Amino acid sequence: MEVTGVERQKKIGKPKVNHKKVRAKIWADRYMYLMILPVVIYFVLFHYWPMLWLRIAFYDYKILKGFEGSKFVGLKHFKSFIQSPDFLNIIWNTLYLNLLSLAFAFPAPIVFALLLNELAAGKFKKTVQTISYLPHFLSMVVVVSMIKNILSPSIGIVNSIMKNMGMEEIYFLGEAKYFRPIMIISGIWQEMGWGSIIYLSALSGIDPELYEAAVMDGAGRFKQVIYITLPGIAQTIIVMLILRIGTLLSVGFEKVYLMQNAYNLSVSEVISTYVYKRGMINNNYSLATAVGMFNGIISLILVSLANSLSRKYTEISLI
Amino acid sequence: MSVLGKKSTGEKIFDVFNIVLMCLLTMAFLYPVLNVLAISLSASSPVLRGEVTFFPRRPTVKAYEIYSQINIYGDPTVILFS
Repeated sequence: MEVTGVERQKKIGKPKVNHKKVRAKIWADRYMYLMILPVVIYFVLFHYWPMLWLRIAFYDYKILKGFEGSKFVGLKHFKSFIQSPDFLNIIWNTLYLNLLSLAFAFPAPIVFALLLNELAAGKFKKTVQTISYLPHFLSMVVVVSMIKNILSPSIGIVNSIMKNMGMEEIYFLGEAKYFRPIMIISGIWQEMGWGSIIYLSALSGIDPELYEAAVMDGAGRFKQVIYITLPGIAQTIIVMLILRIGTLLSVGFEKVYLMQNAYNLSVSEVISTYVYKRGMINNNYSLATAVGMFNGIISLILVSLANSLSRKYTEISLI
Repeated sequence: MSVLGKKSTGEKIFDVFNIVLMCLLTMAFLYPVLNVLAISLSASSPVLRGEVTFFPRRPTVKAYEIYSQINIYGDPTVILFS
């Protein structure tokens, strides 16, 4: 992920290609290429190669007959998805969950990194930082079972606190209106510490002389944050934001699927769980592929839109 | 980020607030994990009564014994590392 200013790109222009030199350079860096080879293989094998099978979306695909035995039906499955009664509900659920997460879970690591940055460097800071990474390493199944434990009306701590304060106990997972808050709050809990790493590394790149100069000019700590720290990590924030916008239509499948139950299905059915149920459970591969492809295309449009907007207004972009 | 100069009262209050907040956050990060660990090491009746929080009640390793006998994939470590 390289951040390049548009101006710099223009200045460099198109270099003249000297094949001999290029080959010599590749040979000189051969170990670097060797190191990146597994990643390239991974992407080709698991991300680009499977794209050939996106054709399934345009066929009435029968898995035993292959493409030869299946009928080409054009955009039928796209149409039937868009016209299905679930369509708006699923898109809305996915989008709403992501917008909430963009509003609350996206700024959380930034705020956390800023607060950590204000702590005096030392053991305390390091301990807090290390502990904050912990939830990231727990597998999703474990996290969801923890959520179920903690929110349980009989053994959960949340309900026992509420009982002590004289409130009625609530079965949080049994009511649709609590689904989104639980998803967002647990998402923040899981990823806040881990997400703050990238901002902390950006923070450490800020020239300390700037702070000294600001102190000389009589800036308090709050003003230092506003005028030095935040502009210093603005690039990182924007790049993360662009990447985040690219995933506005996809929700991590595992967590939603594990949290899903009959009570909250009206708000918890998202694109990825729909694809899974249609494709894997109902064996309707073509429709599932069409939905997945639709999702991918919209995501691509969103991320390029965010990228070009950012290039236009802030001169920061991914490519 | 204390660079030069004395801290004002507001800054001191902020420092205290920040440290308290960080302590609370650390608790929030740790509690669910410790809670699960404590539950796994407790006998089942205190768990069902909701008495287990940070520390195991009536400690036992029975759950782990049962777990080690699970033989779905031939070897319980498969579950551990999958």
